[in-house]
Amino acid sequence: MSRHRNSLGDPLLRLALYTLPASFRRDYGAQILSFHRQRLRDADSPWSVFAIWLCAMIDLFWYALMERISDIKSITQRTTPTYYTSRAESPGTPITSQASWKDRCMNFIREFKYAVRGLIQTPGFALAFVVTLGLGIGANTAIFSVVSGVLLRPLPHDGGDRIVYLEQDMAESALPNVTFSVPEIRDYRAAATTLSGVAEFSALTFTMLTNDEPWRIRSAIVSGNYFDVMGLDPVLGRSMSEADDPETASPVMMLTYDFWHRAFGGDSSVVGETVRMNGRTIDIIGVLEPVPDYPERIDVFVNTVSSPHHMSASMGHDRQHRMTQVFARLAPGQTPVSADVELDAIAHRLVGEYPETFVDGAAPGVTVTPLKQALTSNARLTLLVLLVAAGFVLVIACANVANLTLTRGIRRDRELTVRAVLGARRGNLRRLLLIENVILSLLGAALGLVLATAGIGLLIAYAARFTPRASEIVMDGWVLTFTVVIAVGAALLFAFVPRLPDQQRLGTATARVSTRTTGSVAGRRTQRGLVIAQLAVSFVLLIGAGLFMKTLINLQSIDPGFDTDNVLTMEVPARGAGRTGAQVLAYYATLEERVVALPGVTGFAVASMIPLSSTPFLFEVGVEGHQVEPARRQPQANFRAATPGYFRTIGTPILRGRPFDGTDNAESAKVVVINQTMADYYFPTQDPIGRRLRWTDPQFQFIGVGDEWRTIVGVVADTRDFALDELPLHSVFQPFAQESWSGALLIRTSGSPTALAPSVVRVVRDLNANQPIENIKTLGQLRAEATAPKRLNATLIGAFAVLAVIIAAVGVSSVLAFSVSRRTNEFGIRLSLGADQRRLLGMILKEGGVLLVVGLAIGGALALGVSRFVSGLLFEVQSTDPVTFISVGAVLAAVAFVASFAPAWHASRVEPVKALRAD
Amino acid sequence: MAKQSAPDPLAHLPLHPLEFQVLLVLMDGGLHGYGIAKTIEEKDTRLGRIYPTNLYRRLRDMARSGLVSETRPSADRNNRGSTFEITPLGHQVAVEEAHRLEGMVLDARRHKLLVDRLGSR
Repeated sequence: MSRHRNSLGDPLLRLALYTLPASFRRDYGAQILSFHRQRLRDADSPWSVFAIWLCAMIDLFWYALMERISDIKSITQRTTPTYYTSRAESPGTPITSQASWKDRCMNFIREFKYAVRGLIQTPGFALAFVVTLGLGIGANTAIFSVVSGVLLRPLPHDGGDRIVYLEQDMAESALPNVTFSVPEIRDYRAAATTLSGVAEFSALTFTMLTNDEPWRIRSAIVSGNYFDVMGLDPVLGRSMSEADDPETASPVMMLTYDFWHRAFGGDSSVVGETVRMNGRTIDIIGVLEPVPDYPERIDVFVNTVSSPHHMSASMGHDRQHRMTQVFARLAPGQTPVSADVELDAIAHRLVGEYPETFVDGAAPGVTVTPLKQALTSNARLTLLVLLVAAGFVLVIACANVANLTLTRGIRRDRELTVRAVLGARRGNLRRLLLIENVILSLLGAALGLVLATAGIGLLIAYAARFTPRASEIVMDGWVLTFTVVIAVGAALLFAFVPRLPDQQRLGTATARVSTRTTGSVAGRRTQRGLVIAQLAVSFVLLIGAGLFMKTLINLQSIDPGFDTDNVLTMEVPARGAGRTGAQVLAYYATLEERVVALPGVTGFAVASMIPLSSTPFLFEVGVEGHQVEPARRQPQANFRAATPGYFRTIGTPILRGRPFDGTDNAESAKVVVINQTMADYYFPTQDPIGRRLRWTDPQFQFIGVGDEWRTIVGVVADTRDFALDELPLHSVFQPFAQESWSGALLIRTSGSPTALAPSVVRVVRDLNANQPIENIKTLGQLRAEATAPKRLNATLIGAFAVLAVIIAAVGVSSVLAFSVSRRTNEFGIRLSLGADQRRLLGMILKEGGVLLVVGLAIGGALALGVSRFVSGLLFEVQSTDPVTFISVGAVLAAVAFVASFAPAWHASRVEPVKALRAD
Repeated sequence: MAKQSAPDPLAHLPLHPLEFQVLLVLMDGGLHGYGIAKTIEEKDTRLGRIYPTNLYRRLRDMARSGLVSETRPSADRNNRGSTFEITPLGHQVAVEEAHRLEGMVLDARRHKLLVDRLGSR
């Protein structure tokens, strides 16, 4: 028993011993441990074991603290044997007797008061210090809170670092992730020893009815072990388990935390309620803890029996019915790499066993990606770029504050020298500077925190465009620590910027300060160096901003291939709610009749997807007369269905042939319209009209689209359907009337499309009160959303750059102004010896010009080095774009000129007599 | 507290109650840290449980002040811990502390604190 007790507490106590000062630990550490063991031996119950252990820890920590404090006391007594007495009015007055600890506290308070008084007397310096540093710290705190929430914090999943996402990459496929079929997953699950659990996940959109209220919900159909594998717990009710997997299990549903609040207002009595979905009654068994959605946004989780599609025979047995995504948990001691190797080997074995289920018998590569990496891959580069940009702003801010401190240090040279002459030691003076800087830096940090807190909401919305983890961003202890560390670091740095009077040369120093305060050559050089650094870093930031701005302009000037003005879109899915194909068509026909009758409607269409708000729907297609080279995968095309008014409504021109018309219906011959990219690929020299194609993808048998030949009747212009910066894919449009499909409405209006939305919603609801309507947006809004991430990049980096340039301009201006004020006497001499004002003006401007040229040269070299890291975030602009470099250089030069002009002007206006008298 | 041993016992007063108890316990002979703690606890001095870091910290300070002497164990029996013994100075200091306390007790008695307390029993 006692051995067991020791084995529990010993290592912890042994570790805790390290909080003791080394000498005490060396002398008594072993004895303390042995004392503790003997005491444990006397303990009579588990409770007293715990109590002894806890009290020993508290005892240890408390007295370790006491030891440390007395250590500090004895060190300060040793290093500063003389100090000012309580009688001394100001710091720097020597005393003869040894001061007590209490005296020291009093001295500190006095120094603090003195520092505050000094700062109040120089409000301009204090304000400039606090604001400049506050801006720098604010930018960094805000970005760090995002980086911390998204990239650094562990996943909320239990053992989140062992969760991996599997992807199956088919050779030569246009889509890298072709997902898995259920039989394949079964094989991987049985064979993989590197994985301790393999869970299935597939998402479908269903209509759910709660008390007759329809909800169009994104449902994840998952295997029962999903929550175990993902390390997720319910906040309410229970999780699904493997008992929910068999065909005989009853359909159950778990709500996501977000959907629970959205649809049920966070009502905890929801567990045990039932909803209707897919014609079945489903029990709500629990609510999941809040977790980031991956691979897509999900409203509810249901078991396999809740989805009729998943209960079909082909889903369970067809090895090519690949629509399931796979999450897995690494077995203890395994890594993603070891899992990758094993899964690739299993994939090769499966190809050997079932060659017919793989394209050309080629083995797929299985990629194992840690979940955390998958969740943040899109955000990583952007966030790191932002962090670096914010870091640059801080560098500039610090350089500026260092400059201010240096200037102030030179101005108070006399004060510090007098203090030194009166007996203040260097340490005392340094401490005085340190206290001043700590006060100012902490004020700066407070301002930074206020700024960051004000901006955090915007940043969360920004980050949400890149990662599902955005919801986890908070200003927490880490962020606060980060801010305080920066502030204290800055304070330490700035306290060592000013030179202190040399103890050995106090005599000369006193003589010097009694006549004039002058900065040293070294001090001036440092100032110039700091300004050059500011200009260089501002240049880099400005180039970044310029590149992102250009990316945004390039994106916005892209012709998406359709007219985004005055088109209202909304998803009105009609299929699946118990309607037959004919009923779906009739429903949309009635809807068209009524919507077109609304005033202001000039065009109407139903389509299977809305431009810029859909994901590609790619399937293998065969074109008549076009042979696929052996060992090449059948080419794919994007499947789309639309009513005849589609092309006219969105304003896409028909290049050849005809659009669909009323005669293309279920009874007539199957026809298609293809886009220009596809026509150019298959028929570079021939006329595509009248040629035929057919869907050859095995997936199509599962969604009810036939593989008969279809005649091409028209060619339409290319449209950018998925992202503005992606080249158009091959697209095949087929008439909505020939194969019914769930659809979205596209309505062209003569007036404001947003104003028409309520009337359209009323028409839809009048027709069927339970009809779900979603994503009511104009094409203009969708376009703006498509450029939003790039716009935000440009805005944020642009804001940082503007901030940097302002701070740098202030730096240039203040250094020159300072230089002018020092040299007033020199100017007086020059002017009285016949120099003209213009010459003086030119002289100071040249001084500024030298700083600028050196700054630009260093910044340019730096920018060439770092800009290639952002090339992944750019669009149609090189990271070394000369136009950007030159124009940004010109902007910075103009700013530096303006910043130099005021001090130069001041210098040239000096009156010689006054200047000669200047002290 | 980390001063060299002073010949004047009064310089060490007042003693911390734990230090006084340690001196009293050591008057019966040298002991290890745990032995000292056990003996004090058994005496019901209302000092409560004694924990090692605090105790060794006091013992170290007392050794530095010359109130106790510390004998380190030989290298081969390192895990046994040091033996602490009272020094003549420690003895004197304990006597002075006892006198100091006695003075306080008399004063308390003059204020009838102890009579009241006894009377109420």
